[in-house]
Amino acid sequence: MSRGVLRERPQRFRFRALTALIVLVLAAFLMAAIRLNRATELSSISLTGWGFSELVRQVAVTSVDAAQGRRSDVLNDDLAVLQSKAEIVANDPFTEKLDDESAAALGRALSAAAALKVQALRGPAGTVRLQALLDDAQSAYAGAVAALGVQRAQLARDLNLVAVTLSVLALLLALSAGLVFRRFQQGAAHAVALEADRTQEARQYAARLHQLYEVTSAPAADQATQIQQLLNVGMDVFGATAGTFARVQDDRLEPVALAGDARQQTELLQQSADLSAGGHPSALVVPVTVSGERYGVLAYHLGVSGHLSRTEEPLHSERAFLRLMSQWLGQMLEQRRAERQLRESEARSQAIIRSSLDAIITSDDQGRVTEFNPAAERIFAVAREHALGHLLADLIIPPDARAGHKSGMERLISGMGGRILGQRLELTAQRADGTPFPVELSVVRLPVTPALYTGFVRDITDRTAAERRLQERTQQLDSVFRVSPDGFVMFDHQQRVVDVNPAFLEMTGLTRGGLLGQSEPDVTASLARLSDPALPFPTAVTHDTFEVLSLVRPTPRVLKRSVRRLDDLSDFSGYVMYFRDVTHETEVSNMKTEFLSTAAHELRTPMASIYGFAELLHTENLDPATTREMAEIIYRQAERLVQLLNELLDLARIEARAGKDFRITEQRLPPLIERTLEAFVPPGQRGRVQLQIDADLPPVAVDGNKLQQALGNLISNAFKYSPGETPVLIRACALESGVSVSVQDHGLGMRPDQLARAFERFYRADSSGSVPGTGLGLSLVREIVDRHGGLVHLESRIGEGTLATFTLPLLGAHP
Amino acid sequence: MTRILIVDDYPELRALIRLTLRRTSYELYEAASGEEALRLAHELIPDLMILDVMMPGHLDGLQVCRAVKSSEQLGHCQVLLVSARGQQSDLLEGEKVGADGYLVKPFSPRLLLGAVHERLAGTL
Repeated sequence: MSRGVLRERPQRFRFRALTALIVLVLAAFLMAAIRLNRATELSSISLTGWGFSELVRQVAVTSVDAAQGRRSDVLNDDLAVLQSKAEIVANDPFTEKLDDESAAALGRALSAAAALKVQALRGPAGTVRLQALLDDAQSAYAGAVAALGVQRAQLARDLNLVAVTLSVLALLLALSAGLVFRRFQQGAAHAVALEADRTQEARQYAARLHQLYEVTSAPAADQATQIQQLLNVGMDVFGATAGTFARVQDDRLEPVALAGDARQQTELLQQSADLSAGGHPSALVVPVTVSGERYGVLAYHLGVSGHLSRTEEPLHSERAFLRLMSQWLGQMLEQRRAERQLRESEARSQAIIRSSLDAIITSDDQGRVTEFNPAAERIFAVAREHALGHLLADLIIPPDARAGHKSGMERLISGMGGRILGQRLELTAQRADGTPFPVELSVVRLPVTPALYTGFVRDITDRTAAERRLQERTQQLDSVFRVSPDGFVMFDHQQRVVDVNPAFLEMTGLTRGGLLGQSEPDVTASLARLSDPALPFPTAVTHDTFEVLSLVRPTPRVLKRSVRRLDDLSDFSGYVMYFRDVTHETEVSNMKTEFLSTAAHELRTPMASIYGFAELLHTENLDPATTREMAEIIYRQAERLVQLLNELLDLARIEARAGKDFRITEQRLPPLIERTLEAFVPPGQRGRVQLQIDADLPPVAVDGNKLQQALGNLISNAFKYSPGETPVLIRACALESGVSVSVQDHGLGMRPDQLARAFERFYRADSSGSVPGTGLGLSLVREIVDRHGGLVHLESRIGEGTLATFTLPLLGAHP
Repeated sequence: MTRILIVDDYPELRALIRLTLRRTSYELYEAASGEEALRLAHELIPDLMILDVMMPGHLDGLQVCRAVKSSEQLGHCQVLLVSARGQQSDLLEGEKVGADGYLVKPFSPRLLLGAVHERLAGTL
């Protein structure tokens, strides 16, 4: 390519020359215009001359017509024309230019013409008149022609003057043009050449731009090829000997595309790495930025032996082109990156949609399905092919919800979808087989035209069922909590009471309002105040064990307390204090212990006699009397032991079977009482018995043997504790609700404290040992009467005797 | 003479103990209740009491033992408790009131004799 620099001339000079030229031209035109104005005037006069000739011709025409004796109307027309033409001439300013003779002739002719009548034209007089008029008109015409000649000469002179002026102007122009030309000659030549150059350059530039455009816009197979092609365009455009494009990778430059001389490539890469160092004079280096970040460096080596002289520095236009290349390359890479990101994003979206556990369904604004993901296929049991293009309403909306769906879609389309869009709705959907199920739905509008709507649908069947189960369970637990006989105090993680149940309030007499919000030590202190001060209060509450609290207020109670953390069981990170009322169990347990202990004592005592005397008999030689005495003791004690065992076993059996082994039959009391007397009244004492038995005594439903045992024990006691000859009174009478049987003696009687303990097992009113007995008799009586549904009652006074009464319910009233 | 006071509410048991000790040189006395035992003890100042624990009445064997041991007059008297209760806690209870020995019913007469001799070995 040719390269030249335009040497610029001083602008001022050009303006001055131009101004001078314009002034001269204006002056010349002014002069010429003045002259030309005069010429125009003359030309209008020459036109006026035509009026005179016309007047002459019309007079002549009229004369001929008159001479030929034409009809009046013809003559009339001729005269009218003649008079009008005369009038035109009369008004012509040129008349002033006429000489005096001509002016006089014109005056005559005009006045004659004005005075003429048609009649005056006919005949010889007319001919004379017209001849005279013609003469005068011709004279005037001749005068006018002469005047015109004068005027024409004047015009010729003026035009000559214009010509001379213009010649002078031309001379001036030529002169100044020559001056200017000499001065501009060289610059103009340059300008012309430069213009030609520029045109050429522009054409080349356009061609290169086109080349660049082709490369950057062509859908090349891949990015590397495209970059290489772009690099090659630069090689061609700059006539470079080497070219590189390197990419910034972790603060280092990695060559991406290379062209030309290998050694120079290495140099270029070094320069690329150090852009700020200014660079080699014969190198073109430019950074390439993508999305505002430095992406890489494009560089060309202009060499020293290129196809043009490359000793100079790169040109402005080359740098501009390089910048353009960098810009386009940057844009190209950015576009590539955007495309790639779009593809990746698209792929990701597809992957998400495909792998989503929620159904993702897209529909157009008519409610027709345009996308249906695998989860949707699974949840609704509808294949994608069957769903696409179909109405949502037909596919997945239960019939009774279709109207709502339709109006919802309409609201969406009309832009009033605010209620639906972005909300999380719980609705009922329908599977392919018509099964309704609960779903959670959220809808978004896709920003396209016409709008698409994507719904995210989650099958919440399981969740809903779980929620319902949880709710039911909570209600169950809550009612258990409320009605449980066990007391609960719930603490939160800060050891504050959050709830107590009615059972706990009942046990302790504390109030709910007073307990809520209290700390665990507060609660423990409240319980300690209610407890038996004589017993140690367990202060240390340990988890998953229990301790026993003995309350004395509001009523004596024994509570078993344990604490259980709830962390493992639920999200509630507190714990519950659990109280079980074991008062009854404790009493029973104490009674059992006491009973066992007492029973052991009662059994061991006769056993001690038997064992001890037996050993003495066995090991020692005793005299017969002692031996006999010992044998008697052994026998009595063994008998006592047997009786004790029998009564204990009877008691235990009655208790254990709760009377279920009783053989209840209808019995009449008098014979039963008689049999009992035979068995239990000590020999020889029968005379002391007094019987009072009502005659109308109703039959009773009893186990005969058991009742005999009970009555027998009472009779035995009466005899045992009433020595002497006092009577023993046995009464049986009918009551409203049953019968009562009583045994009364007049013996020792009991003190109130003895009476109070009379039914205790092993309790003996006589502790001297002189009255035989086990202490179980009255216990047995009570058990037996209890099991028959009756009651036992004792009355006694010390020294006066004892009255024992039991009742039995009527037949049929037995439980 | 060495005196022994036998206390039991059962006459058979008192007879058994009496027969067991009949060939010894001790003077034997008997009481059938706690109250009687304390009264006789103050009267006789025995060297040993064979004392039943479970007795009806206001004073049981343990209370009698405590009263004997805390009495200045009777301080030297040894007490051999006899009880139908043979659990560890019962023995501990006996130890607490200062008893010198504990026999559980039923007991072997020979063992009782051995225990009595052992208790009274240092006395005449």
